[in-house]
Amino acid sequence: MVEITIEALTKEYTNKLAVDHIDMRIKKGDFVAFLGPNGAGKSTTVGMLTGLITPSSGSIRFGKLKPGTVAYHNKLGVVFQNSVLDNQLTVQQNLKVRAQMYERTSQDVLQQVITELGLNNFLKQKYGTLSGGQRRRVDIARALLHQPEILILDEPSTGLDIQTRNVIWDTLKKLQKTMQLTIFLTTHYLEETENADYVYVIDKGRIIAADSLDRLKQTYAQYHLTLTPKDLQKLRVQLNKLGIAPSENKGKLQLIVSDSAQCLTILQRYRNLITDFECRQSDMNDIFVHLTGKEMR
Amino acid sequence: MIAFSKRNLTLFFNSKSNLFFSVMGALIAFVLYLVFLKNNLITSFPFKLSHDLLDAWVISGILVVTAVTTSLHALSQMITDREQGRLADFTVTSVPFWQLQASYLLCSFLISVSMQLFMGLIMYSYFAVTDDITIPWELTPKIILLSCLSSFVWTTFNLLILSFVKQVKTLSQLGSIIGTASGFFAGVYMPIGVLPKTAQFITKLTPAPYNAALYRQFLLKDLLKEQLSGLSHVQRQLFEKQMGIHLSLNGFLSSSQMILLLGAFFLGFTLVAAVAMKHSRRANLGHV
Ligand SMILES: Nc1ncnc2c1ncn2[C@@H]1O[C@H](COP(=O)(O)OP(=O)(O)O)[C@@H](O)[C@H]1O
Ligand SMILES: [Mg+2]
Repeated sequence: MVEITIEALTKEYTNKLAVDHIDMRIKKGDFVAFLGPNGAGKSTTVGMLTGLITPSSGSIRFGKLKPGTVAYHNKLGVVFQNSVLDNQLTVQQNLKVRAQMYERTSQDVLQQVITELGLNNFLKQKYGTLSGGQRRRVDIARALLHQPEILILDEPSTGLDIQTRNVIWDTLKKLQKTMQLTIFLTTHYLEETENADYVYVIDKGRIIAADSLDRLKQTYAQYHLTLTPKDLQKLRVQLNKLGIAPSENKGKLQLIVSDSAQCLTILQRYRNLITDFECRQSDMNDIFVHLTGKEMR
Repeated sequence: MIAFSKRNLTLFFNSKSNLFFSVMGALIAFVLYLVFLKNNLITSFPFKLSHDLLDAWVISGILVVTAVTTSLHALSQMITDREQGRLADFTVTSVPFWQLQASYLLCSFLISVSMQLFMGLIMYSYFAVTDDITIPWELTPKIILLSCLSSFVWTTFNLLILSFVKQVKTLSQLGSIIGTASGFFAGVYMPIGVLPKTAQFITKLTPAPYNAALYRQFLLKDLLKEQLSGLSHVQRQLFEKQMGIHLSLNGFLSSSQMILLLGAFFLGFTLVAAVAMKHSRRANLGHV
């Protein structure tokens, strides 16, 4: 069940191609992570998905609805990269004003959202005086006031400490279930993709990988094997014979092999030359390096 | 749209600094009058001028300054909201974009009207205490109507000015420039007759002197009749011209001619602002 279909979506600024023919299919109820480094085109994509930026070409289909129309806005909740509520107003005032600006909204939903995001303790506090994490929770509450079907978040966890990030993520996972939300979230934290049902990786405006995390890992699976040799030179010569060129680090040899079987073979064959070893499966960071040839940050 | 307008009004009236800075130009003019201009004026005419006449004169000009600066301040919210990404957030609601824009204008209008009335009341009360003048309550309906007309003109004027402003940090500089300029153009810091000919001509290209003259004609009418009846027609005309109570533009302008003129300014500003805003407005809301 595909909810949003995006085809060849492109945004070109004056001599800058920010988003370059991207295709996406966002399934109903999925938690989709949109991963990319700074400047990759995440916010531009979010801008087009929310109807705030007009694409240069390409299409966004969400049923019969067109981005930028009121009917479209009614189904969409947005958490912007920056905090966009009024600092001088209290949390409650802020939420009330926004709630009244939607066609479909009710006191019950407002209450439910406030409880769901744990805002009761600082409802009467001015938004400007909240901590970063509290503010983000209010931002998310604001995006849910009209019971949207899709929640779009642009780097919701950037700049927050690790505990707060975890709280936000747990909350989102919970909301996905309780409110039957489709969630589309951009991030530049690789580890955050671990929680997603589906991952798109974007770099320089192009989607360079799109799959579930498990499948991504399978496709790009590699094993990082670190060996502590008894005799470094001897082991290196042996490995070279196999056509493997290990790198050396603090007296240890590091090599990348494609699957676990090869890992075991190496360990068995040279067990006499090895005192210790460590083996690690690729994480998102390795996948990203593999795809782009560069580190994330 | 009602909720959004309430929010705009709350943001303006809840912030003491906002309130203060929006009438700072008016306050400066008021203080200037008290410490220096009033005595200056009393001694510079060959006949005796009463306090209540001069007080009503300065109130008229200051009301114009108030109309200009408060509507500018109120409308600045639009620029701040845009730059800080709030407008994008409001745009993704069920309220259509044109209603958001209309609401900024409406709030600016309402703020400007209420601040004119408020400042008028404050100044009259002050002079009632210090100079023992009587507050002309019977003029209230006329003043309300004129304050509405001023707000229409200045809200659209400021809309035009702000359509060229892209950055929040320009706003405070713009605020002080417009605040000071409006004091000169409305002839509050010094009567228009004191200015050199070219300067007088330039002020007359703006709505400010007509707006001020209308206020003066309304607020001073009876006082002039009572107190300057001893003067010759020529003397009186000269005085009224000097003080910006009557303006000549190929002959003396009547009140209704000046109202029409202000209406024309309103239409002109609206048209130009609409054109100036046409391209830029909705574009690029997404980048916050
Ligand atoms: N209004 C604009 N005009 C020109 N270039 C822009 C504009 N907005 C963004 N860009 C450029 O487009 C690219 C993508 O930006 P953005 O979508 O904000 O990236 P991200 O959100 O992934 O960090 C960047 O190189 C950025 O400099
Ligand atoms: Mg971004």
